[in-house]
Amino acid sequence: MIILKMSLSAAFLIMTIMVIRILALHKLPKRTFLALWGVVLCRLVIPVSFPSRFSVYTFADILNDTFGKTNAPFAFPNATTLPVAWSIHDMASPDSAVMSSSSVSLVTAVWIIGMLACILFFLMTHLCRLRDYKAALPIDNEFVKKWLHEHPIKRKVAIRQSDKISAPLTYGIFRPVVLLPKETDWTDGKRLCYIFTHEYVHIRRFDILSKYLLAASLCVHWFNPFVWVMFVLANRDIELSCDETVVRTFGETMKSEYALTLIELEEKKIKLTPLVNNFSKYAIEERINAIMKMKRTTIFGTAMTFTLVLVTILIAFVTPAAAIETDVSNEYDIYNPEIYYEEGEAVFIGTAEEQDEYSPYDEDGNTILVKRIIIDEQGEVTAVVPVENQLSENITPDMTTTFIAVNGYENVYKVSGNSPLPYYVFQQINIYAPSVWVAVIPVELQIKNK
Amino acid sequence: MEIKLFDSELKVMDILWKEGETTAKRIAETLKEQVGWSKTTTYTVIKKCLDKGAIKRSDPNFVCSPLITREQAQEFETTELINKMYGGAADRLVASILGRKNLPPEVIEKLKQLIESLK
Repeated sequence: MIILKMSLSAAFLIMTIMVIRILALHKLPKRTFLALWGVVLCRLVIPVSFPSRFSVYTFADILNDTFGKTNAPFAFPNATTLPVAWSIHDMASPDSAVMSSSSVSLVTAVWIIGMLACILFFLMTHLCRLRDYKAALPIDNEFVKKWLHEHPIKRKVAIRQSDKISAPLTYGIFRPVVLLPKETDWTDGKRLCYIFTHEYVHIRRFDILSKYLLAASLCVHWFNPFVWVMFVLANRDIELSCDETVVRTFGETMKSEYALTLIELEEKKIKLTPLVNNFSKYAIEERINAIMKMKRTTIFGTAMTFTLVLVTILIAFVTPAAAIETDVSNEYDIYNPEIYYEEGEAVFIGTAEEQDEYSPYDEDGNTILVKRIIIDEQGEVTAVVPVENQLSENITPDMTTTFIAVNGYENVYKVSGNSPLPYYVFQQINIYAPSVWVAVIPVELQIKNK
Repeated sequence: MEIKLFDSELKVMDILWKEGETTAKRIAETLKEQVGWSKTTTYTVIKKCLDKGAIKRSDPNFVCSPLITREQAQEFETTELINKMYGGAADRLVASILGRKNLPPEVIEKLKQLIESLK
């Protein structure tokens, strides 16, 4: 599963950022963390194959493929005994050999169910709240008019109030709405300025969009606890970074006033929703701390930010290039039997010997044709014979075929062409019983070249 | 009857109290103009009022009529205020109102008369 791989490499990144966050939260500009989470978000959403396509590894693989195959003949062990499998009298049909990919499909099913549950949860809670927000009433007072006039923004911003919320909030991406609690004190201009500036920074930075993206990636990677941690921390960092901008706008002297405003808002929230106060207690503490410890950005801080973000990007997008080797051996391993059948497809997987023994029949004595995946002792695929290649009408004896021994394999089919050199790999191989052709293995299905 | 109505719901009730029986369509039109609600939003709020038993629906045309009066709603809000802020003692609320600095003298006079008449 590609998702699992993406999740895993992202988990590593998240862990790194968590450590940086613990060590240097108050020392670095908060935007650093937003940039870092942004890198993780890309990592979670963009599949591995995208950046790795241009890596050195792929080139080496191509070279290897091109030169490796030319002098390595195809080997199909014990092919002579294959016709036995089709003899009517051979009743051996080990059902256990028929493998369906039920374990793989179960994992996928669980993942999809979890994802749908997450989406449903987020969507339902969000839509429920949105319904309340939409029923908010417009505010039309001098302060609002003045503010809207003095702070023009390209999108049309609406300012409304609701008696169903306890703290100011913003929603909507294209037509943002700033929602204020009903009990907002319209006489305290300074505090209102802080609140409005905070919400405006959110709007200008499209923070709502970021929050949606975070929720979306959480829905996809719901099974990854690190992504949950990221979801919580990134949402907090959005607030921290917003606070930072507000403090920079008004000057550092207002730090304590601004912090007090936040505490007051938090108090109201706690009064109304006692159940969540434990959860948000740490978050508000962190926020106040961050505001009070805020310092002027130094050149050192900026340099650190750039270095950190760069290094993270490198880690994020170089690892997959290194990981592609394991990728090839697991997910896209051409020797892995699993990649040659779909989920739920009935297949036979076994060694050439086992497949000699395997010949299932239905009640009427007709041969049941299933895709046959021939593996060697190491469990690696040597050949795949799809059903259509087992039908007599598809098999045409267009080549002279003889047995030879190649590279330690007895009874390997050699397909002779016009050239004096044998073409094992690049020609179609036909498998036959003394009088009938029973299967044909086209070149693209000849997997393992010894 | 004790019904807690939110601001949005009171907005719908306001129209009904002013105009009596009104179709939901008409309410939606009015509120779109007044507060910029979409049709869906208005219908959601109307449904809330229906669920709370504050209004009654009669078909055809989805005609809404109020089941509670403005006075009932006011009384409920006042009771809630007294219970919440003044520990259930109405006199403290009155004292608080009278204690407001910017209360004009004629209002104070009116209040006094009101108390006198209740004696």
